[in-house]
Amino acid sequence: MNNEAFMFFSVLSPYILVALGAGVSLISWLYFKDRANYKVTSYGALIFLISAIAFLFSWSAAYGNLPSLSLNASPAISLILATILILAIFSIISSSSRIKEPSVKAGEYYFLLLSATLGAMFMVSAKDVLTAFISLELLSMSIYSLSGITGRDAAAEASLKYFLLGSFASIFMAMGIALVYGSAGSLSYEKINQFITINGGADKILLTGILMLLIGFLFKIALMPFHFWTPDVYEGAPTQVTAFMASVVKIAGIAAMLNLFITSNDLRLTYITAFFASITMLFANMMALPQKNIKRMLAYSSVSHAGYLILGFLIFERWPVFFYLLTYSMAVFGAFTIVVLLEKKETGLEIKELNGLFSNHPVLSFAMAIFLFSLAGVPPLSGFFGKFYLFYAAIKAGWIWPVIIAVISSGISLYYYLGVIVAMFMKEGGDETQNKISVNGNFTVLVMAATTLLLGFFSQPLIDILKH
Amino acid sequence: MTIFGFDVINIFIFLPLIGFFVMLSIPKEREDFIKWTALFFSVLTLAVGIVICVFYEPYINGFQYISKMAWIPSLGINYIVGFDSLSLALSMLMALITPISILSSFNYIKKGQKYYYAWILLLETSVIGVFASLDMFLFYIFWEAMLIPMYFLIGVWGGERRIYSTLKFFIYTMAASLFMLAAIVILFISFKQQTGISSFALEDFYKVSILGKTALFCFFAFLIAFAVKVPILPLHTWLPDAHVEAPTAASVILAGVLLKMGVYGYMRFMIPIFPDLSLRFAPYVSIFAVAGVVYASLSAWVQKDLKKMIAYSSVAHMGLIVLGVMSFDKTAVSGAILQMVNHGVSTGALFLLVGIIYERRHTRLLSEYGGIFKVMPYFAFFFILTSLSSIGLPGLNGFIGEFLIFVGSFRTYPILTVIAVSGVVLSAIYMLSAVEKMFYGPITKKENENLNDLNIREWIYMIPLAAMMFLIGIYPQPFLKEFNKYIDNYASYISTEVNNEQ
Repeated sequence: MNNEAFMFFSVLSPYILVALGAGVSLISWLYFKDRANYKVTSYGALIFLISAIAFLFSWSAAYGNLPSLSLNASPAISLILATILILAIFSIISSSSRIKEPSVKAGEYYFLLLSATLGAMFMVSAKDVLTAFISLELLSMSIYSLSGITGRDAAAEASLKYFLLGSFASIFMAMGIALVYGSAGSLSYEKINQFITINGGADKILLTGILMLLIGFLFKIALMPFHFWTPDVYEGAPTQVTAFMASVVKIAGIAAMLNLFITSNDLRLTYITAFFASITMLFANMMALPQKNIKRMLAYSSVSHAGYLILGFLIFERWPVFFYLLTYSMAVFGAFTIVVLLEKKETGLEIKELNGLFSNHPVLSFAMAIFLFSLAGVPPLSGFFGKFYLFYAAIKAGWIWPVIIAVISSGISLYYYLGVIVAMFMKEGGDETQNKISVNGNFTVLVMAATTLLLGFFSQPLIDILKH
Repeated sequence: MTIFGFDVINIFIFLPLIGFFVMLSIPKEREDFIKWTALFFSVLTLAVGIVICVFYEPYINGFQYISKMAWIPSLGINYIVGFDSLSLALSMLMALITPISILSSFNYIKKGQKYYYAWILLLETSVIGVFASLDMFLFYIFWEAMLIPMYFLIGVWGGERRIYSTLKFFIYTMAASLFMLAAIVILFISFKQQTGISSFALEDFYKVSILGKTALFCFFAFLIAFAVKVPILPLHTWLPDAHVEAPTAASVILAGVLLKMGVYGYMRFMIPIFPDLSLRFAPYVSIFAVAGVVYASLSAWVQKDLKKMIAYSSVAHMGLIVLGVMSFDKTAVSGAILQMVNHGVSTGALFLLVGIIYERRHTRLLSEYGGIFKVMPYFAFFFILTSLSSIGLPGLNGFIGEFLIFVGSFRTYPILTVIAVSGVVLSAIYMLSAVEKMFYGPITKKENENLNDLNIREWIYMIPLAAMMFLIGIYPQPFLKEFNKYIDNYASYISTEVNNEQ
């Protein structure tokens, strides 16, 4: 095999493996037909995902020496891809107990999960707008179907709502891509950005195209005022899927958007992002305050985190955003996993149902406290480090007022995060009919909690990777 | 100095943290084992602290026992810890108060014991870490990390309105600290712009010079973050709530050590980093501090709840300490440092005594007591002794500190000092009338007739505190001597500014 072909395969191997995994899980399901064999399917999917992570290491040969693919390969991107794969792995592990329910079709579930993962991976590493768009569609289609996979009314409603609004956003993006291509004459991020820097100000068509692209992306990552679908969809979808949506889909959307927009230093765009970021941080946190259902509360919280993340677009470095994505996705995934483990009906968990949880499930309560403190940004948990790096970089770039708004909204957010902790630790009650917690679920939660606890202390090696 | 290859200061800071993890791994049924393990770790920490004190050289300028490690070097964040006499004194106060408060909880805490003691140990690590850190980022981490254990201690084991109080405490402190974080980042960035070095080290922060509105913002961010902790008058409302609801041990630690973190913040961070602004705004801070003395003393006077009364008296005493610090007079500053230790000892002891009587009678209302001198003579002895120390009776510790503060601050703020003296008069009124209501006269309530006097455990933790009261009161020189070098240093930050202004 010559060098070019070797590079080609080493870069593509993780994607190929995930795609193969998706296909194999669908086919094995058809072949076995027997519902008791869902385990075989899940093990198969796991093996493919784990080997995809292993093959990510083979990328090191390809850094700086890429074949002519429209995909990026760098240490930072491999770390983000590894995070996506790890989250997918834990989605499979933690949901293994729920799959037994007859209404859930395991084969489709694993197939859709893996194809969503594949879409997310392509989105993170895409180097041109069309690749990003197609992979976004792959991701979105899979997530639309995943949200409705249980077939219950709430899930079907969530799925339909998400699909209708999502396709609307896709139309915007497609139109935007057409306009951008029409005026810039290229689809690659690099060329588009060069074009913007040279004559972006004058070209109205290009600007319209970029704005339409931006709106499409803002919808996908649920930034205010394009967030209206989020609480309903997060609440209606099965919670395992919500966990995946809040973590992986957000990583993919933000990373793709970051790759597209970070290099353009068009001032109008930065003002628009600063504005959207500020209203999102402030209002999403306020809207989370009165929520009684944890899934809805976490949905608003994840909207607000998209706001913090968008702050990162004002600065000319990628690593603070990536670092924040790592800490945020681990914490939010863990929090939703706990909801999966404790909920009795699939539309979620009232906060008051958590009363006295600590006496029945001390480990889960501690883990939940770690996730929520981290999301609130309380030191010494990793969420604090994420916020610190982000705010630090924003101040360094001269954006003081969005940081002040971010600080104020972090203060507001404390109140509802603490409310959950109050319910778990400080209130009496809680009924005896607690769910039995599966070993797999506990394992997932523990891994996420340990990561959330320790990521911040070992930030230096992570920063070194994410800077490249 | 190292033990088993670790710097002794790191052992001092992180030994309680190891204790925290050990506590979490003990099964919750083994209650006695849990208590004794917690006590073991806290006493061991105290022993390490004593070793540090013994080998501490008071005549050396600057920090000792410095331990340095690279942490996040690309942002100039390092792990740097070290002690000078101020931080060592306050850390030792924490190391002393932790075993006492653990010992005081042996019977009082019934549910979730293992987590209770675990949180106390975690609190000890973060408090000692706050005093020891010489890197602003590290300091901030410890400063905020302290909130989590305190939040759980008040919220889980507190009284009826514990949830309200603990939320108030947490949000108050966190909201104020977030602005301090922003100020730290701004200072860091301006230092980087001036010198090209990224560093969060404290000594580099001392060198940074910023001007104009940014400087004002940073100064006020520090001022308010620490004012919430002290607390200075309009920001004090969390404290009575937190104290009344907190379990005894948390009250003792809160009053004994955590409040000093605010004053420590002024002395270590705000004044040396912004000497000119501190000098400019010190009179206003002092006015608020003295207003706090008078207001809190008057509030204490009318309280019916014994614990609330002590909480307000605590606000008054802290106001006095702030007055001493803000007068920039050597005598007053040394008085303020000594008074911080004194206040830790005597208010800590008062809260312990309230805890002792509360365990027996389950009420803190003054009207429920009366004449219990006859049934609990030793308890009454300790209570009266501590009250007198808190009032500032000559011969006991409180007098020395207050006297030095008044002498020193009179030179800078004569009128304010005269007003502040009224706080001492008022404290005599409310403390003595509380003593009278509790201990003298006939026994009015039947329940009070058969109260048990102090048991051995309670004797064990009251004696060291009482001994400290006498020792500092009769022969304060060794304590004051330790602070001399520090105060010379501290005065040098200010005096250069004074000369510049003239």
